[in-house]
Amino acid sequence: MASLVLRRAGRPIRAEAGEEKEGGAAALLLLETPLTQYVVRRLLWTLPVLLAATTLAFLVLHLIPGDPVNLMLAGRPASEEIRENLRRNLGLDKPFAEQYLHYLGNAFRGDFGKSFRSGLPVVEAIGQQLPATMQLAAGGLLIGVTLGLGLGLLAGLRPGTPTDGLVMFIALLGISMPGYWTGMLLIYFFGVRLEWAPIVGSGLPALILPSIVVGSFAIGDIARLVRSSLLDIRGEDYIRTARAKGLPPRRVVLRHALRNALIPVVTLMGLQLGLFVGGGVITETVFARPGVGVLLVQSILDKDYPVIQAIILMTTTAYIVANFLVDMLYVVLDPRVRYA
Amino acid sequence: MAQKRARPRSRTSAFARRLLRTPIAGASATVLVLLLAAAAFAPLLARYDPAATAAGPALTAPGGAYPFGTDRYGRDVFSRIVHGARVSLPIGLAAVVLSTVAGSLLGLAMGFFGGRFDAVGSRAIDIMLGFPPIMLALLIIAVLGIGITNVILAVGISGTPRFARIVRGATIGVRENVYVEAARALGGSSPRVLLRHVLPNVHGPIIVLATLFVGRAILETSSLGFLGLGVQPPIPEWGTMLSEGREFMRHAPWLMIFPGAVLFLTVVSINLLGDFLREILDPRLRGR
Repeated sequence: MASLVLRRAGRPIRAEAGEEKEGGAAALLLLETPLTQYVVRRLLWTLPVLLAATTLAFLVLHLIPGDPVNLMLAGRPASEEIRENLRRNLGLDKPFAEQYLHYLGNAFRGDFGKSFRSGLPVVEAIGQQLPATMQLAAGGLLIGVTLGLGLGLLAGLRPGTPTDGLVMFIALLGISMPGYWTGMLLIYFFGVRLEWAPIVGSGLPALILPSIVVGSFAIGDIARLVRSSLLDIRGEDYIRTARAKGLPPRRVVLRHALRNALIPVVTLMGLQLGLFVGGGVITETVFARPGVGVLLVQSILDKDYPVIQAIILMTTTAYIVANFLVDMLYVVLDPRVRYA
Repeated sequence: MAQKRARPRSRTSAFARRLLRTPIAGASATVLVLLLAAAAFAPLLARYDPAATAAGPALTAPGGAYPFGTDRYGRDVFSRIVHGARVSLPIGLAAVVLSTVAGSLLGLAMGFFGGRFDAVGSRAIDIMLGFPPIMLALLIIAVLGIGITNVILAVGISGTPRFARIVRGATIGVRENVYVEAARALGGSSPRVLLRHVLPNVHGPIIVLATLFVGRAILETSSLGFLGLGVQPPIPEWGTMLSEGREFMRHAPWLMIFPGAVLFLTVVSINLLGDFLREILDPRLRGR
């Protein structure tokens, strides 16, 4: 952590992490500031959500009808002794509460057991697929944010014009397109017909079309939100002041309007992470790419519950962490939040 | 005149007039009516049994007796799409009904009674909204298994928290009104006050959200089908058909173009109509 700068009554208070001399005083001061309270409150709130996610992941294995041991054996014949051994290995012979605490403890240490199918430790199985998914998400985020922001600005700065109408129509089409259909059309036209972009393989070129698909899940939403928040702040006093003091329009837009309009957009991006996860599942399937999404679908089809549990927990955690970071970014973008 | 306008019957006709005056909304409504008609009269419209293999030669290009071509088993794609409307639309609608009813009841009760019930419920909703939307649906499928009912449950339940949150907010706004107090003072029981006095005053956001959700529910259903976790072949669900078409993209692109186009047209029409409804029912959003 670098440093937190808190402004109170216009006087900056700087609290450096690891500052020995005034460490105690600074910490005390920090505890009293609304920002710290906000951060702590926000951090504390992630705990029950994480706990709920872990509990849900744990319950998955117990809610499914039938004996988990049967699932693990996947129809292979086994003697009663082998079944007993499996049950003991899985910890299923212990009382429910003990199993739960055991699961929580293991999950906390990052131990999710072994895949029923491959026998690989779950963490390893997911780890193999993670880089491909991260690349895809990064590509999708880049395309989604760039295009969404651009289109939203185009529409929001000239509301009521044909440009605005066209952009909003495109955004609506984007929201209504089935993502996998977008993917198939892209593959067909740019991959098969025109041969402009590779549809298989690794590396950056092969990432282009899938990234467009993942991004397309978000473009419409982002564009609509940028537009409406630009319209919202159009009438604000500070915009009028900026104009009145003779700032060139471009500067008013970039320094004053856009910065404020971005605040809700940042929140949306946190929520969009869910779309990137869901979009990833679908996009990976369409493009036959490796990744966590494909692993999840395959695991659901295979009833490979340890993997399902871990992926649920992992994506939920990522989602929660991303939204926490987004809320913190909020504080940076909007000083008013610090005192809320 | 002004008084007459406030009456519900005139409002309906005013609504119809506006719908017809707005070309895009009118076109969307027409598309949806045609789709519903296609679903209703599928056996009359479709020349072949959607499941009949070898209705024609396999992988025939569109044209002639097979306007949308045939698939690898020689099934007529047009007949399958028309019959698919009987699968995709009802599943999407059922999921929306589930989300709307469950979410609205929950939101109404939370907003109206407040207190501990509201506090616990709100936290539960926050937690559910903490899951990425399709993950919740996948999670439910993982637990319940694959099947049509489970698809409805998965899509419906994953949409419930959003309804509950919006309806709760609207209910809190309405709760403090004098007419609610009056209804209570007259001795109306809680369920009666809720359903007769509060619900009619929060129906606007419910209808808007439900309309917008129909498109999402149909998309989500078809996504599950596409992933192989929804409606299973040989039932002609649009997403499942697209999944089958993916393999033949190079040589028989019509297998993915037509079901996708119909699905897209459906969802676009619903969303356009939803936007129109939102403008009518929520004038504050006009021009946004």
